[in-house]
Amino acid sequence: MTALLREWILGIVAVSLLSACAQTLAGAASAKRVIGLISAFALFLTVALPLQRVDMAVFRTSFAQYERAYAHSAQDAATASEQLLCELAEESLAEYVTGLASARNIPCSVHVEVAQTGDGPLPSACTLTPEREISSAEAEELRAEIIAVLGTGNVSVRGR
Amino acid sequence: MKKWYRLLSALALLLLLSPPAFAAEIPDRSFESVDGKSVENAVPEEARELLDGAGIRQDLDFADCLKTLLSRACGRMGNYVKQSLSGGVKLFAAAVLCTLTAGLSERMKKMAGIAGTLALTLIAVGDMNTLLGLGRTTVTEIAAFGKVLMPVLAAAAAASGRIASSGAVCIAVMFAIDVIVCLIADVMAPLVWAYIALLTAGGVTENEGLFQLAKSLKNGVICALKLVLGLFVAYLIVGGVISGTADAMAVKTVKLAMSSAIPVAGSVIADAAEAVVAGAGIVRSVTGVFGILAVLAIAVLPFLRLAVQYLTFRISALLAAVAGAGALDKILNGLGDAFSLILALTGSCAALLLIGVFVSASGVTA
Repeated sequence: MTALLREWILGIVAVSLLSACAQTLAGAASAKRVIGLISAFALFLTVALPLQRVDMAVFRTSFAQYERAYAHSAQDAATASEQLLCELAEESLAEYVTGLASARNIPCSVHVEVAQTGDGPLPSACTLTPEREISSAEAEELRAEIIAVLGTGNVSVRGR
Repeated sequence: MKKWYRLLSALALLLLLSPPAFAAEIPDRSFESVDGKSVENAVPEEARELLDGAGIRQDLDFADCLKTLLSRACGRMGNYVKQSLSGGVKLFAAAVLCTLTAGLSERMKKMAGIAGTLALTLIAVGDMNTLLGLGRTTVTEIAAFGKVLMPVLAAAAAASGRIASSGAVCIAVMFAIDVIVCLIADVMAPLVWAYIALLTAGGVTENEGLFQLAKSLKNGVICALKLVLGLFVAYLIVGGVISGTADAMAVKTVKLAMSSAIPVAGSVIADAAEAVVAGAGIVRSVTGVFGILAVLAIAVLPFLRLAVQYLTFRISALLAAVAGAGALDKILNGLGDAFSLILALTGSCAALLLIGVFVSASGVTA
C-alpha cells in the first residue's frame, strides 16, 4: 500500500515538473496553451488511473505477529511471577508455622511447599523438624494446629 | 530546556512512585521475572554510551542518568555546529553572490536567480542526504528498540495487574511504530526529495503552481504525522480507560477470593501475591523509566544534529535576506522547511514510543 501511495504521489510530482519545464521551454503563447492543456490532461490521468488499481484487501491488517510477541513475553513473565509467588508464600508460611511452634516452645526448622492449583497457589505439604525431643502428644497437637492453618492434611512432624 | 527537564523528571517520578511500598528484598527478585537483559542489549551502542551503564535495576536514578545523557550530548554540540557552519556560510555566500550578480543588469537578474536556486539546492543536497539517512537510521533504531521493549514492558504491566490494558497498549504501540516506519521509509523520505525538486523547479521556472504543490506536499506529510499520532493517542486514552477499569476490578476480586479460601494461609498467600504484584509494579516502572531514557539516548544526538542544521539554515536565510537576497527567499525557506520535515519525522517516531512507554508503565492502583 505504501509503495502504491509513493508511486502515485511521485507520479503527480514528475508530471507537474515535466509540464512546468515544457511550458517554460515553449516560446509562443499558443504553444504554451496547448502544452498547458496536454499537461492538465496528463495530470488528471496520473491522479485517476492509479486509483483504479487500489485493492481494498491491502487495508486489512493482521495483528497476529504483535499478539504473538506480546503473548510470548507475557507467558514468560507470568510463569516467573507464579514461581516467585510460590517461593514467597512458602517463606511466609514457613515463618508463620515456625511462630506457631515457638509459641509451644518447640524450636524447629520448617519447610512448606506451595503448588499452583486451579484456585491459585495453595499449600500442598509441610515438613517440621524439631530441634529438641518432643512427645507424640505435643507433635500431634502441633500437627493438628498446622493442618487447621494450612488447610492441607499433608503435614509431617519428624521425630528427633 | 529547563521546562522540558522538569516535565520529564516529574513524569519519571510519577512512574517510580506509582506502586505501594513494601520490603526491599522482593523487588530485587521481581526483576528476574522479566527479560531486562534483552531490552538493555537492544539499545544501540552509541546510545548505551550516553546512558553510562544504566540498566533495568532498582537503583536506576532517572535524574542522574538524564543529566549524564544531556551533558554528554551537549558535549558533541560543538562538532555539530562546526559541521553545519560550513554549509551555512556557503549558502550565505552563494545567496549574496547571486544578489550582487543580479544587480549588474536586468538580463543578469533572471540568470542569477536560476543560478542561485541551483547553487543553493546543490549546497543543501549533500547535507540533506546525510541527514535524511540519519533520520531514517534513527527511526529504524527506535522502532527496533520499541519492538523489544514493548512486549517486556507489557509483560511486567500484566504481572502487576494490568492484564487487559497492557496487551492492548503493547499491540497499539507496535502497530503504530510499524506504520510510521513504513510511512517514513517508503513514502515520506522520497517525498522530501520530491519537495526539494519542486522547490528547485519552481525557483528556476518561476512557476507558482510548483511552489503550491511543494507546500501541499509538506502540509500533507505534516498532516499524516499528526493523524497517526492523534489516532494513536486517542486509542490509548479511550482503550486505557476502559481496560484499566476492568483490570482494577479483576485485581480486587482475585485478592478477595484468595483471602476467603483458607482463613490464615489464604491471607498470608494474599499478602505474598500483593507483594509480587507490587514488585512487578516496581519492575514495570523501572523498565518504563529505562525505556524513556533509552529512547531519549537514541534520539538525542540525531535530533541535536538536525536541530543545529535547521537553525543554521534559518539563520543563513535570514542573513541572506538582510543582505538583499530577497529573490531567493522562497528557496532558502523551503530548504529550511525540508530540514524541519526530517526533524518532524524523527521526532514523531520518538514521541510515539515515549507516549506508549509512559502509558504502559504508569500505574493503576487496585
